[in-house]
Amino acid sequence: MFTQIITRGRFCAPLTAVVLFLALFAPAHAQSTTTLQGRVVDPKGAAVPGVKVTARSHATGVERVAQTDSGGSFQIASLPAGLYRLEVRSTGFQTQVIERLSLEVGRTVTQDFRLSLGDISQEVSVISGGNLIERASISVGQVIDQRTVQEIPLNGRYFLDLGLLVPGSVTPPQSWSAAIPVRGVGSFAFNTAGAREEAVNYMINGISLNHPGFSSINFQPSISSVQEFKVDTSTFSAEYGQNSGAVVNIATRSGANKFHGELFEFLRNDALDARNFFEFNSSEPPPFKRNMFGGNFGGPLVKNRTICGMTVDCRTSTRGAASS
Amino acid sequence: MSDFDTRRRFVLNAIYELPIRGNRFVEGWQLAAIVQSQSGNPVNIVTNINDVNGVTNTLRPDVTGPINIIGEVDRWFDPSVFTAVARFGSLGRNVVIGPRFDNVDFSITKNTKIGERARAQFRAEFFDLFNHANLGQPGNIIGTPAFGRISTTRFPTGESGSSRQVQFAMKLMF
Repeated sequence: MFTQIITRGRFCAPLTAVVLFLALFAPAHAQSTTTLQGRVVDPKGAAVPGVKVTARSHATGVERVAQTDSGGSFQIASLPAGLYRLEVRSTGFQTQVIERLSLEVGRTVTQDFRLSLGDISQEVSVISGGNLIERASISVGQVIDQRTVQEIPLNGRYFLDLGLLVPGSVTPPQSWSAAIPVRGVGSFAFNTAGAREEAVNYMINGISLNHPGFSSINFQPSISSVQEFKVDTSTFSAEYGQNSGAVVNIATRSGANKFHGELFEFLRNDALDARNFFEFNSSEPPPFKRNMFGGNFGGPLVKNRTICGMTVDCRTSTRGAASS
Repeated sequence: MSDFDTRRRFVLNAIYELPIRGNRFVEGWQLAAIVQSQSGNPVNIVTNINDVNGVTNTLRPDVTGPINIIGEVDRWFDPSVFTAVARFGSLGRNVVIGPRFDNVDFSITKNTKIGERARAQFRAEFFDLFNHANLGQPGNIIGTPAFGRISTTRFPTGESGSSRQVQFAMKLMF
């Protein structure tokens, strides 16, 4: 046995207990949303004005309607990210429907329609060709989708570790900076696109998450509460002020018309860990035990009107510091 | 050159659902990984002489020969070519490059359906799967015993990429 100092950290809830209530009739927040736009033309390619375009969220049933202008263009801004059903209706033309269109956070999705002559009561199902290229903006960035956020292995479940998956981000050097991961709390910033770690603008549902003094992230949002996020690394839109480096747009999970939830427990201890390379006094790693547990729950209070969601994330850990 | 200058970096993350179909015990296996590999960051070599500007560990030394990176833990570079002088030395800032960073995080997930809507998920996650020790920066102050030597892993307290660590998880989703 080697000599050791036992440091004990035992805290529950306050680290990342996030309780988020989302009322749908509240105005949608600034930028951690998505924009849908496009142009509607007739079979000859001429613009069709006055077409009603309806986007309806699969999860919450929230509906937004736009009409095409004289150039046939429409735009629906500030939509919460998620899966939508699009319907395009105009007299003299068949109604076109896209059943499932994924609108990701921080993006401007362009979806054009070419209408066919016919009766408005005839419904035609249209398959969206996907939106791999963002035609409507020049910003360089990447969306980390919900599956990656929830299922990629993360030691300590620190949200910012996901920032290293984006092209342009680098694992920080070993000198003091807010980007260095710290035991129990993770890192407070990350270096991306050659920018300093304090140059990143973090937004959660459009609200600034930057520390007012250090400009690092204020807290790591619980992985369980994050739906998806986008990192814009360069040439991002002028709507994002404040920071020169990169923009991180985080959309949290919201409730839906159906009840959804999860319970989780993550366990890590020293039983299967390897010792540190520079631990010369023992063949074993120092004693360690960490439990991370919590849950996420969302559902309707009043269907199609009021929806709530919440996340609780707790952790307890005990660790013996190595003597070396 | 900035302290976090990184000349080359590769990162890959993937989630792969194994194409096995069958009953609920056979199907639902999934693999996920993050693979990172990047080149080293610069080390700024300084002296502890403070006669010139009144601050220790800021003045750079003279360099008297070609800088040789040996790449060993006890001798990352050849320290004999640096000479501490009581003036601004001839060595540039951030000239020597430190160790690289390579790390593989890997997980195996089993999803099991419970009824129509619910599923249970069991995960085994292996951080630094190959137990590759990512070294920290070598000592950068001339005249100290640690000069040119590496004495910690890159993130000794953050644990990322220091040694293999294993985590298990259970999730219940509906």
